[in-house]
Amino acid sequence: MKITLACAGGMSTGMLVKKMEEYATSQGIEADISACGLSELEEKVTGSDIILLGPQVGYQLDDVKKEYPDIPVLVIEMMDYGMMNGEKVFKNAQEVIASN
Amino acid sequence: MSETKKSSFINGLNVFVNKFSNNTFVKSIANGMMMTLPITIVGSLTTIIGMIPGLPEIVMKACSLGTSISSNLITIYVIIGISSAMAREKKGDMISSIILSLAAFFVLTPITAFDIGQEKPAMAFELTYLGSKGIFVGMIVALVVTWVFAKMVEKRITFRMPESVPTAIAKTFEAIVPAAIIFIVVIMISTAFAETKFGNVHDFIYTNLQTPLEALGGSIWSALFIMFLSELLWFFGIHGSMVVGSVIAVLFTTQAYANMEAVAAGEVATNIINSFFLDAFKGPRALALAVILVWMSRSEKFKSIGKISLVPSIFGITEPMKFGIPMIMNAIIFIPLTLSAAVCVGIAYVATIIGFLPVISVNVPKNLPTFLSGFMAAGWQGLVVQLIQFVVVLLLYLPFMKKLDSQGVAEETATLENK
Repeated sequence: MKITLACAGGMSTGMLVKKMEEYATSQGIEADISACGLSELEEKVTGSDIILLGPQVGYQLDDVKKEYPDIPVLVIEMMDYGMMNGEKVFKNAQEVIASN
Repeated sequence: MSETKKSSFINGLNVFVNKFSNNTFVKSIANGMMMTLPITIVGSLTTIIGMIPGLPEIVMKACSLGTSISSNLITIYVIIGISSAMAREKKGDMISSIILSLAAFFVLTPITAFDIGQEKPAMAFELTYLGSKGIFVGMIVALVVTWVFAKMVEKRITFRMPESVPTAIAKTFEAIVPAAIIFIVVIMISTAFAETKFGNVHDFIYTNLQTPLEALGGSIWSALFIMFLSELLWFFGIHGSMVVGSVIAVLFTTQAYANMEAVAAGEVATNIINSFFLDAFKGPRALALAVILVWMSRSEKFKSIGKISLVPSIFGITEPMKFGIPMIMNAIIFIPLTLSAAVCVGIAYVATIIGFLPVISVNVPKNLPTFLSGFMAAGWQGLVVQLIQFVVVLLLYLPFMKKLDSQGVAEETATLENK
């Protein structure tokens, strides 16, 4: 499972990535989770099962969906992002990937 | 506001911000200017090192070289950066676009004969046109040339090669017609200007566009307004600095590079309001907030958000707090949120005009830890200004945070009592 998070500079999402990785490992799930800035998305996105957008760049949702019509794109919930709730964000992503 | 009115306003705002940020030209400026960052930061480093008193002359010479090459040729780097960003946007051939943009720029830049005491004069570009004074011409040329080039190739305004010609060769020929057209047009423009009183495009743009824009845009009031605007966008959950980044680039960077050039030439920098100044003295708001959360709050929620946010806040990262407290769409925190950046810039501005803080002419890397950034930008005075900003921001946020905190405590107590 490959999850790509994108925000403005990839820095705050990087923290969330760590939390998500911790949760995934604790559940024994193999996942390749990474974060990048929106401008690098094109290079980093190949093979991704899902794209997660930081809420502060949520206004880009439609454009990102248009760029990558085959990959589900989600905006991370503000509360989950603020509390760096890796578990919830990971579970959400899992559900969406499963239903696709 | 009713819920539906609120959400349609937010939607409208999101759509507007989206259109603005994704506008090809805005995006190219923002991304293009970012690419010149490594050079300007290293140039700033050499400037800072060069200011250390008592250095051996050879080190000073080396530093001075670093500073002058980064600031005196900034237009060239900007052209390459912006042209490549635009080429990426319009899916044009990047290298051809860059070469064409540079060529067009050089066509518009006067080559003069300089008497260097030898039998033949040296033909050269004046450094003035390649530095901060040339940025606008460079920006416009890079944007327009790259855009037109990509459009022409897209519309197949080109030699049509027979099918049997290998693709690589056909592509090269494809580029010839658009390049020729653009080149000829630029030569005509340059020749035409030579006949007018301006003499060349640079002086025309500088007098009629750059100078008024700098005066209008480079004032303390525009700076305060933009800081306010950027934080206002954050209130709606939109990454403010990302959106206003290109506006800042257009309005405030020429002043910054002009400062760098002045220092490189051994003169005094004079533009107080510039992009380096804004970057370094937007204020340690993240750290102040985190400190309030960790040490001045009673609710469990605030204390835990504080713990998560403390280390990132040193690097100016605020998202955990923006979304965790939350500050987004939180009417109670509206006032300190929207005003703190402007207040900090105001403090730094006053510190400069009273002569305490030196005019900022170096580019400190974004996200450099608080207090270190102030020190790097302006020595101990910079550090002191940031300390003052830290205290002011803390005091500004405190009453509002206390209110939210007591709400949090009340909720937590209620939950406990209901258990």
